[in-house]
Amino acid sequence: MTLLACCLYLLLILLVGYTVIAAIHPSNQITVVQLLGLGSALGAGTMGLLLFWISLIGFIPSRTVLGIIGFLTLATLLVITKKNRLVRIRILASDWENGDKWVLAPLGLTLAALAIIVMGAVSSPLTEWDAFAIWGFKAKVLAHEALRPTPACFHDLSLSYSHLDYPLMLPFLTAGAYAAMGTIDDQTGKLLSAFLDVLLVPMVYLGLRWRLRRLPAACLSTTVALLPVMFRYGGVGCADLPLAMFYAGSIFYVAKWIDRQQTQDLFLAILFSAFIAFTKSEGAVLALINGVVLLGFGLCDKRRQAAVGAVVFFAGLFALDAAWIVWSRNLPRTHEDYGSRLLSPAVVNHLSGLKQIIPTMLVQTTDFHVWGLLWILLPVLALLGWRAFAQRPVLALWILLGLHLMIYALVYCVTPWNLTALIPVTLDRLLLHVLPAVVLLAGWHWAEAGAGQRHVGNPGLQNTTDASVRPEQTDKH
Amino acid sequence: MIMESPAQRTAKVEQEPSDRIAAQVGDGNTLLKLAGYAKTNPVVANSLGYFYFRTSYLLFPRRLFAAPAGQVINDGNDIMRIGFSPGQQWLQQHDVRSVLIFGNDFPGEETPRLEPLPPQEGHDTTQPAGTGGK
Repeated sequence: MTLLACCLYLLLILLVGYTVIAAIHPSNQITVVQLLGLGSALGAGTMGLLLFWISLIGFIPSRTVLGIIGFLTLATLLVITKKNRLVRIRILASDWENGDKWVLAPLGLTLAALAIIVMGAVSSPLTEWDAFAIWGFKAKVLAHEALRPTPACFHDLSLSYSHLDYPLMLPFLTAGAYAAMGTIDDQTGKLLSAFLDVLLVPMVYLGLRWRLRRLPAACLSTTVALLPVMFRYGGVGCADLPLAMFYAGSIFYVAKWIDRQQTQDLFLAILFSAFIAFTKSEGAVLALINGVVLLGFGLCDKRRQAAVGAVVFFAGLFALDAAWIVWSRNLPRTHEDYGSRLLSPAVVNHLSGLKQIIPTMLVQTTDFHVWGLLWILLPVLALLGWRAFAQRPVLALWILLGLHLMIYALVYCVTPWNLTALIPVTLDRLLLHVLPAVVLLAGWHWAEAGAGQRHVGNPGLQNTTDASVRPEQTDKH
Repeated sequence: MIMESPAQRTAKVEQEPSDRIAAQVGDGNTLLKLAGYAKTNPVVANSLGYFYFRTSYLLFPRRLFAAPAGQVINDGNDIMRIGFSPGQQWLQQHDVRSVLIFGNDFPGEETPRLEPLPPQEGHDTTQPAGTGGK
């Protein structure tokens, strides 16, 4: 019964996501992959923020709250339907090419891998250290107490190990699952965690399909699903894969906006960036980096719209996360407090640590038992498809990847923990956050190498100002 | 049926003490006390941390106290360093009704083990437990 309730909760998340898509892409068509991937990801992020805002008013996640959210979602959809702006779902794509029938093989492998992750998740309670000490503990607190007044737990230094100032996306989504189930059952509740984790694969696929034909995009997505690191962290109840999943959406739509300046891409970039900032502390930095890159390309662009987009991006990002920034400002920082450490001039004194950190990171990326050949694939495909470096979205993604890795290297420089002990237990998780950028770059370079480039509906390689080109009407997944 | 991997079996062994204690604890909060080698031996810091964090998670909204609210706990070493031993008044104020002992003073003693505290005079047993550690 609890499993059924949890599944209904996931359906509610999907419904919320579908409504957001309908609001952003009125009167459009989406594929099943877009519905399940993009719809679920948007729904999850929106639901997490909604539950947070409702908790700030003084209500804990409950069946009544979920019922109201469901009712309002259906009402919104009804209005959209009456205005004839509902998004239609296309079951079968019309652009099948020769060889696409082979896509069933990677699809089968992907589904099998994701099923293993989900089954593994619901077969045991929370066992991962961070999963119960940080995310699971916070979920329990939020299931019991609203954020107004602030629960005593958030100011209790003896609970400092739970990282009192960490963002609350995953805890709120988990508390929502507990509310739907009517009980705190972390084993069944891990279905939510596994759901968020496996969403990374369709999100990456959507980004790859922008440039690549169906079969190579599916093969690269399957590579992600089969990575040992996915099985290691998939469904354990930590926030790393959800962060990577939202991050995939954020960088994809930042790159798309830079390429075409379509309003809906900007909205999606803002939403996903707001989600990552509310998922993990690293996400706040990554969201700002997204904005900086967007601004940089906007300033270099002759079109006024590009620069305005950057302003809108920052305004939207801060509007969505303002409540979190204000509410969390007085929470005790842990001794880690990477934000203050990175902004301190003393960071310069720690740069010598890079001599140890960078080689360790490089070695980690070549660890076959963690990453397979994925990281090695990127420079190979970048060389083969070197012409892609001239494309703005590809260049933007390389800059995002570089800044992302640089920030993480600097975090290691200033960490108060023993570096030798810390790196082995954290590096694979941190590099997991970077995974979407690596896969998208590999795919986009591959497209330029000729083997996999899309033949239809791909006007994105040029800088077009033709607003009549609606990418979502031509994107076929 | 899903086969258990060696990692899952190891995890189960690590979880067993927390699960056992969580099933035993009744109403009210619990105090964590260290005994014997667990007070000083740094080797146990990691397992102590895992046990304390997981038991705290399982017991919530009841609390497992290993320090007053103003003391920082980031790992097992902090718990050992603090060596929390509050007085009777503090225990009463925080609705502590049992003591959880980690480690042992004598060989053969069960660890961790739960010892209920005798009911206090004027103790309102109808009050809900777990209201934080302030």
